Amino acid sequence: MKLHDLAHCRAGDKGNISTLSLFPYDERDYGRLEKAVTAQRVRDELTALAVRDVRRYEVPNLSALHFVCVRDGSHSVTVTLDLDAHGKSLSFALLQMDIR
Amino acid sequence: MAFVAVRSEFAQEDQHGRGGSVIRIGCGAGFAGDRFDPAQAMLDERVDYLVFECLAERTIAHRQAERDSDGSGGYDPYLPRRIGAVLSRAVTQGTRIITNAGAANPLAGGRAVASLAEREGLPATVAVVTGDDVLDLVDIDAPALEDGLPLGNHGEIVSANAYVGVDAVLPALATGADVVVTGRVADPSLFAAPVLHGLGWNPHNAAEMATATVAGHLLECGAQVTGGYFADPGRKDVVGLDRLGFPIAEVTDAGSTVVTKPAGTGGVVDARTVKEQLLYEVLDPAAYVTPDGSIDLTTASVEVLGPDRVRVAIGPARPRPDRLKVNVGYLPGTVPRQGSPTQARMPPSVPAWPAKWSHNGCVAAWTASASTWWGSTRCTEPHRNRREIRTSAGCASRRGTRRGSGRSTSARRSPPSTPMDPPEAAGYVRSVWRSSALCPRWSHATRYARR
Repeated sequence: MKLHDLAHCRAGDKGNISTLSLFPYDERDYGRLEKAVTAQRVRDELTALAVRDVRRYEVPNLSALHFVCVRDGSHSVTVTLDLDAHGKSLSFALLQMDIR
Repeated sequence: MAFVAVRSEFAQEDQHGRGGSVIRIGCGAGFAGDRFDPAQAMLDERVDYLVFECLAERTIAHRQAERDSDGSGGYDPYLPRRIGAVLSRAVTQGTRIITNAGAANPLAGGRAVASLAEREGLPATVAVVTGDDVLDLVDIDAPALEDGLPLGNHGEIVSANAYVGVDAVLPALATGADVVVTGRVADPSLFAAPVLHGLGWNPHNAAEMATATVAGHLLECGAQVTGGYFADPGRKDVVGLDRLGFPIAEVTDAGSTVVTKPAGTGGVVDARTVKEQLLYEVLDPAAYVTPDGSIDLTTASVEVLGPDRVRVAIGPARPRPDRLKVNVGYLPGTVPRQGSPTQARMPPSVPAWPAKWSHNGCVAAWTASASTWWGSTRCTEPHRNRREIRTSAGCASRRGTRRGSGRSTSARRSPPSTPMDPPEAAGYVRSVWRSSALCPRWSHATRYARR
């Protein structure tokens, strides 16, 4: 099963930091996501997209997991050569994660 | 307290202020290239304020580059068209306009809007907010937030814009201007200011400031909270993406704000779109820092009131930071175009040629102290060419240090002990233009004039 089946996600950017907010479609799945989608797993999943460091914040009042991802400096929106300069597609990259 | 004085002097006579009732803020744009038509729906809704948010890290770098090549440019090239499309109706029905599309040259942007009003014979007043340009005060040895390296290491510094807060916009609103043109006001602050002004609220009141900031944060990305980008066909279907409405915030009481959108427009406002926007571009959700305060989003709750109507409750804000974030533009130099499709088609004997970046890079830093930033508010000049910018950047460090050490660090953050004329007190409102329908000639000689 893909994370995409359980959750939706929104990406944002600040310099070379990308933020990824993850929300279960069904709030009852929040605990399951909390267990499965760790900072380490997100880092592993997105390493190929230049994500180097990930910090996770739990926001239970919004049923959200919030990931602050530090990318290589060259992936800052004003200087990046990426086609997706803002890193918007990172949210969908994360949702491709396999989840049991 | 400076802002108490602002309210008592101006808010009561402001025909648009509705102390005690509801204030409605409409978003007319969430980025520089946004659509034009959603603003018309906002006028149909007769919102009190129509706010066009047109700046980002990338766009202000672009505008800085334009100002360099043409002293009269540097504001959003869409500004005249965007404001021209709504100005007549807005002035007629009393919807006030706020925009940060002044970008790197708010004075020129304000002048362009004043010219529009002049041509259309509209009795419009335009106020311009400057003071975000802190290039002369940049300490090139200060570390960049991104990598900790000294700012000067990144390349030649060509611009520095502080993310200023509601205290920059409130004096402009207090002038009664129909249109307020700003530079780098922080996105949520651009929307929070009219909430505070319209309701006669106090930015030093934790509950009121938090409410206004959350309203601003929910609106700052335009269609993103009404289903744009959110849409994921098959999983998150959104009806009417071709006529997506932009959001409206309705604020009545401190503690919560209602997000909705104009009737008959496409898109959706529901718990999911609102939650996605609430955490958008936030680092620590317990401390979402803006120039106006620190918001604890772990105190937020989302309640669906009905179709396309969502209420967001928020706990009180913590005090605003002592320092402001600064967007520092630099020239990253040249990049070889080796391997680009163009190069690949060139004969082998032609070497790869260096290409100047078409825009500036940028990094962020904190102001060295609040006082150095405060001292910059009168430094902005409308017509600067690249050579002049380079000159000032070259000695930015020393000048900044000298100014900073010569002033009390409490200058900015402590409210003045005696009441002052609000625009003078805040030091932001650079010019107020009035079209000829109000006075025989308009010029920036009418500085700080009130309608």
